[in-house]
Amino acid sequence: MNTQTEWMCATCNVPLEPSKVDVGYLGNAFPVDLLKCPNCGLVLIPEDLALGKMVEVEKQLEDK
Amino acid sequence: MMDERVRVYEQSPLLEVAGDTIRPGGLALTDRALKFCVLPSGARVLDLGCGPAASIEHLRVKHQLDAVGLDPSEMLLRLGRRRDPSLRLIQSPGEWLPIADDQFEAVLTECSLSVMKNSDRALAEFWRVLRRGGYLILSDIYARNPAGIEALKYLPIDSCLCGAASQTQIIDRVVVQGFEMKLWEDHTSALNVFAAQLIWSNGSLQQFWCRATSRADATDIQTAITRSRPGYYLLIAQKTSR
Repeated sequence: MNTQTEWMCATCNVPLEPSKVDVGYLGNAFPVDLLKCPNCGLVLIPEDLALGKMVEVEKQLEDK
Repeated sequence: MMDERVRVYEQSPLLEVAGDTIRPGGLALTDRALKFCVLPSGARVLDLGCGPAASIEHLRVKHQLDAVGLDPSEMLLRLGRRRDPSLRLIQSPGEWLPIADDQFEAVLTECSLSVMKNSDRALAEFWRVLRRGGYLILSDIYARNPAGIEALKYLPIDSCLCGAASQTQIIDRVVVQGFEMKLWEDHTSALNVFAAQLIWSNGSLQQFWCRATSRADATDIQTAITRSRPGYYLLIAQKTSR
């Protein structure tokens, strides 16, 4: 995971920090570690994550 | 002959995600089952396939039950004893219980029956150690596509997936032992969340199976599992006669 110094929250101008975040889809949720703004709660989801295993997770939860 | 199949439930790629309960649904599903059964405080409960004994502690502390754990895995029981040396844990296979007849108000076996070599023999043992009126609480994987069951038996892994049966087969096995069915609930969403967590940690289920089995290619495993359409259930049955 990226370190907290690499990403800043554009709104709050503070470094993002690794945090437990609940990822939810179709009524199911589970906690994962992602970078989050400690002030406003904005979560960073990098493109490779959104197009990679997040797609796999969605397919699994769709139960097709 | 030694069984050299990989014990998936002892592998770190699974333990890292599954935590202490090593099964879909976790303690919330245990709570759901106990809410249905309404056992009195102090009731004797046997947790078969207790693993690292997180549920034993939960049964004792949250539900005030007199819980005993049993598991064939010395490695997992060691983790349980490290958790709390006072927990009563027995190392034994579920098919041959070193326990006298009519001892328990409930037998829980969560994601364990399908790992046992002889599930009919195990169910007969559960019947024997339960008191009259006692509950069998079973949660486990089942195959929603019965046509995929045969291929699961030959997977090179020791996992609950290998012993998955259809809903009809499971209910028949329980009823033929003399149990009266009280509840069948589908909890496949809990299995899907569990699988989603494995994907999150490993990149894909294919990569999880490669890591868990130390193989470069696990396509055969993943194909057989997908074809069986794994689901998860909670079954509650009662010993209503002797």
